[in-house]
Amino acid sequence: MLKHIQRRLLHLVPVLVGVSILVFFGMHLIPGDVAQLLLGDKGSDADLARLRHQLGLDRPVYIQYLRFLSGAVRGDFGVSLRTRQPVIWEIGQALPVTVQLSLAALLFAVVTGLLLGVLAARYPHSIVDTGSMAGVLIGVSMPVFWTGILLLLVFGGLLGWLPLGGVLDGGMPYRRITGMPVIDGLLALDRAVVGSSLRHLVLPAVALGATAMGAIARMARSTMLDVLGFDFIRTARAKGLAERRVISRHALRNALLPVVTLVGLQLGLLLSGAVLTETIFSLPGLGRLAITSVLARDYPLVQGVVIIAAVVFVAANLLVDLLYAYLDPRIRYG
Amino acid sequence: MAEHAAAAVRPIVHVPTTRWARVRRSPTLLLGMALLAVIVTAAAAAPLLTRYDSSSHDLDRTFEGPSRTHLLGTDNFGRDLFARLLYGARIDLMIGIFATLVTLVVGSAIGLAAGYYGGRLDRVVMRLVDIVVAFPFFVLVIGLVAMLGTGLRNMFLAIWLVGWVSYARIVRGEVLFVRTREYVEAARVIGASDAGIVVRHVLPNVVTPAVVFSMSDVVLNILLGSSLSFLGLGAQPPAPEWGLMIAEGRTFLATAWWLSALPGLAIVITGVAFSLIGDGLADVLRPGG
Amino acid sequence: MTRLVLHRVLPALLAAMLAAFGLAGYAVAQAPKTLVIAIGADQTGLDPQQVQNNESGFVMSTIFDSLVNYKPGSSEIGPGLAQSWTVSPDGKVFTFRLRRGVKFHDGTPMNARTVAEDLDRAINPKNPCFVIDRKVDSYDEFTFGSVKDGSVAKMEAVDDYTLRFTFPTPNAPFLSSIAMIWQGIMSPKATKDNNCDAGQHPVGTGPFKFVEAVRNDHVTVEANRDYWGGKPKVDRIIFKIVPESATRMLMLERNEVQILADVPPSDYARVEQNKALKFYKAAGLTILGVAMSNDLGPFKDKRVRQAMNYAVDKDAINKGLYAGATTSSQGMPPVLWGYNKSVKPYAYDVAKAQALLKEAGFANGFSTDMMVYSNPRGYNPVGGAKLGEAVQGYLAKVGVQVKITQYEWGAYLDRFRRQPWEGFAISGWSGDNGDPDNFLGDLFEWDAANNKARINNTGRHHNPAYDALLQQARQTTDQTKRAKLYEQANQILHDDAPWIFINHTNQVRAARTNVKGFLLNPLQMFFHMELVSLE
Repeated sequence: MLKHIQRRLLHLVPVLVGVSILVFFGMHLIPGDVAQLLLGDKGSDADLARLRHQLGLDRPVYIQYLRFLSGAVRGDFGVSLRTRQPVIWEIGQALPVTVQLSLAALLFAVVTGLLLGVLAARYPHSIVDTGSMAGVLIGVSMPVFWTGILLLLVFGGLLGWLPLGGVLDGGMPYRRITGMPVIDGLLALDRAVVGSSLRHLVLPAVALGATAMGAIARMARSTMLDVLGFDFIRTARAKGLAERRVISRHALRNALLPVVTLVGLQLGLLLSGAVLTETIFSLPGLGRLAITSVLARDYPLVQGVVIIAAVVFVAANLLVDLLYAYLDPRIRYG
Repeated sequence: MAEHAAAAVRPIVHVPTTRWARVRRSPTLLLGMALLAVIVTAAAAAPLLTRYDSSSHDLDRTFEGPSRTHLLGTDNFGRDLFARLLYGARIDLMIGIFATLVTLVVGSAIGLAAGYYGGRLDRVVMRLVDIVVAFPFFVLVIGLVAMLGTGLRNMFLAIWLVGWVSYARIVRGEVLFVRTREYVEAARVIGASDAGIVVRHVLPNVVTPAVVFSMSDVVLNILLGSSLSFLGLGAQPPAPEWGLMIAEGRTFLATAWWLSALPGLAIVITGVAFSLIGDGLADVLRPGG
Repeated sequence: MTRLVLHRVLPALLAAMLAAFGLAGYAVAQAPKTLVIAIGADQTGLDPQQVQNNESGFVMSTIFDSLVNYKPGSSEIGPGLAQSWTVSPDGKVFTFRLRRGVKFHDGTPMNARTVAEDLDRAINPKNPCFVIDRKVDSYDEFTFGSVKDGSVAKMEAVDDYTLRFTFPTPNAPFLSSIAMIWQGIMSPKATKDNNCDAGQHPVGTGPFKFVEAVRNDHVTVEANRDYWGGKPKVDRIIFKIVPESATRMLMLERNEVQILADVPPSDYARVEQNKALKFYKAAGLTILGVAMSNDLGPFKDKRVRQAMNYAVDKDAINKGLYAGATTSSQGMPPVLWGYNKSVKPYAYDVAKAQALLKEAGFANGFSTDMMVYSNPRGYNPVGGAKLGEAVQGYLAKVGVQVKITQYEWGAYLDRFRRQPWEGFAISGWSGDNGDPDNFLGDLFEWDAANNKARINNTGRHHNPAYDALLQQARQTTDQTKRAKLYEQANQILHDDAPWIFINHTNQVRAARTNVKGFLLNPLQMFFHMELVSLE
């Protein structure tokens, strides 16, 4: 197992170098000039030339890349053009928000997805089954940003049950430890912060998790149906075990494996959806940072965000992979 | 990981019947095809179904509710919403189908070559695949669009540059599996050419999972295209692309929610049609049928 | 393991989720007298000399004072850190008498020495914190002049409370310029402590002190109880960053925020009809138009340019696109002094447009290009693309076929300002300091010395008679005489029609009715927030 992890990690090195090359040179093909963008519709030609020089934009590209790579290895992605703060600091502010959102969405997706899938498989072709599978089919086809807008409009606007975005009630003070208000609130045993941040989390998590939930429900249903037809289940039933016990003890266990795989496949979609969800719900996360920095042509920030997103994504996939190996007794890595 | 996934997804239950019988008995497939037929017809016959076009302004008649002259009302420019939805179907169907078709063909070809020939070609392709899949899909596409410039054409390019990877992986995995089968070995022994083997023996056996996957990919690409347009990176105004319409309508959400809600509904319906077809196809094309 | 997940973890998670929903009704009491202002984007730093974007300005205007401040609700100059000032008859020497007993928020005393120390980094290349050597949003040399060509002001601290600036040439707009928030005075100690960049730890003398800034989420400032202009009436102001305009509106209605920094035209009626909300509207210091390539294509002919102006129905655009919250333009914002009241906007007159086109030899019209951008700007809240589409529709009616190309904002600026484009381009401007020169000069003047258009004269308008008037006005200290010169320039500009003049976007904000004492400032900033209370 350890060796397997080692091998996987080693395998990542050339991948990440490839990622850095792609990102760096990709960004430099972008039309439009950072210096120009910073100046906006004011400023003279002399200002422009001066700014270009200050930003090192007048140096050869390969030198810019080498400087970038040597910094990146040390976690130094340079300084944001717009805010003049270190890129890694900007990312550090945003990342916890995205992690919290993604985990909440994943939690929602797995729990409700499994629940719906198992229910549907337990009563195949019943109203429960048809209804939930129809719902799932629709859920999978809903654009994240559209779901978000509608949820916000209905539960935030019309009904007023939940907040309209943000991570916390305005200006509520709390001690930043992890940067994830829910966790920080729990750590500080601050009921107000936990309550407020949870209420802020519900709608974005549901919007973001809806697609993954649908996929998981479908997968859970079909594998459950398959598994329920197997001999050992019939044996278990024949032994006179209660149906609930048959399902929870024998069937679900076997149905869980493909779900874990699916979660791995859904991670990318989840991170992608975060870009849109964070925009709709005013969440100061990595996705929003990505969009604002792309639109502002903040090269160093875009590079940092994309690379960090890739690293997080790769790490999460590795984790899922290992979890899978751990859960599946048939797989043993030498 | 992809290998595990393929293994896990591979159906376990076999019910032998003929394919056509299955098609006729698969309500999922029929329903999906019927739905798609309606959408395609509506898109194609748009000029017959409405007398408005998708972009002419009427600033005297903005934000009108549904009426006999404007079936679904008008938007902030006084444009007919029904007409825009119909003409929008053309764009979104094109995004879904065209983007997917190219990645399906190109990706499968690459996967086929890599899997069949193996060796250095395989290693290079897989390394490239590793790099592409190291990014969250959408983040990479956004990055590419930012690089290439906004607009429909560049959006297609970005989707193609990233999308082939899934097909290459799926087909390569299948080829590796099929390559070791006796009938391929046999063909090789009796001296069949590579091209002959691939076309006659390998391709038919590996293309099914790619085609089944492509149906859900169509849905994904429609969602992707509308998301990019929503963010201002894809289709540009005044195109009646559905995601763009949602973005334009969102400013008026509080007063005219339907401007955003209806295009979203159109996306959902189209997505459902393709998902149904995909599910149906998966049933019908199961091995052993 | 799996069983553990099923039996223990899942139910626990479900319970947690239910708890989350259960907490929905749990309201959290807000600290007393907190005013929340919703803004659309985050600030990029809070050092007045280093940034120049609206959002940074919004926050900085609560933290900083300038030597002179704009009077509440106006662009007229009133006392700031300087209690009084004198201008020499030749218009070259400005002497400021500073207020006594004022301290920066960090306790540093405010006097001629500390103010000079702060401003020194704007004008002295040898200062280790010289702002031009730092990465800045922008740097406008028009306040203190340019170091490079020697037109920069000389600054001297005459005594502890007297500061004097001397210019080589008369500099009529200086007083207006120095009141801008970009000339707010930062504690020199803060600049030093933060390695020349106190953008994340700003220290001023203003009515509110900086507390914290959470990226893309909010900025908090708290009352400065010792403020020289009177104790602020609210304890805290939170600038909450909410990118979606529809969400901002809902938040205002739900009293989650009390002031919206901007309101999209589609929501004007909604605010006006809500009894709990107050609609704030004032003429804005902006201009919006469609620039034409005055030196290329059919637009070389003045009659064609005038025809374009007649062909577009500005009133319908104002009503349809901008919900009636804009004023049609004749070339100059009506709130500026020097505005010529006898000049009226071009009427919508298709026949006249066609006649002029025929006269110019384009009876059958012509085809041309238009560049647009999609994002909204302060002077164009619906974005360039929508205006472009509307104009395109009107021009088609007089036979002018327009092909629209949309560019992302950065690429747009590059093309628009630095390339000899031909055709149309959406154009606009927000005033910096409330001086007519800031519009007529920046946007339409020919740089005679270098024989090229000034950088923001993107339509390449060139009329020597017009340029001469502007030159003369810049050297005149008497404001009444200056105004007369600008009125003449306004007339010429209108006739030359270098743009299709569209409109001036009113400054529109919305607030809860319990917000009292809030005044719009023509410069859009949140000046004098110490006067605002929550009832």
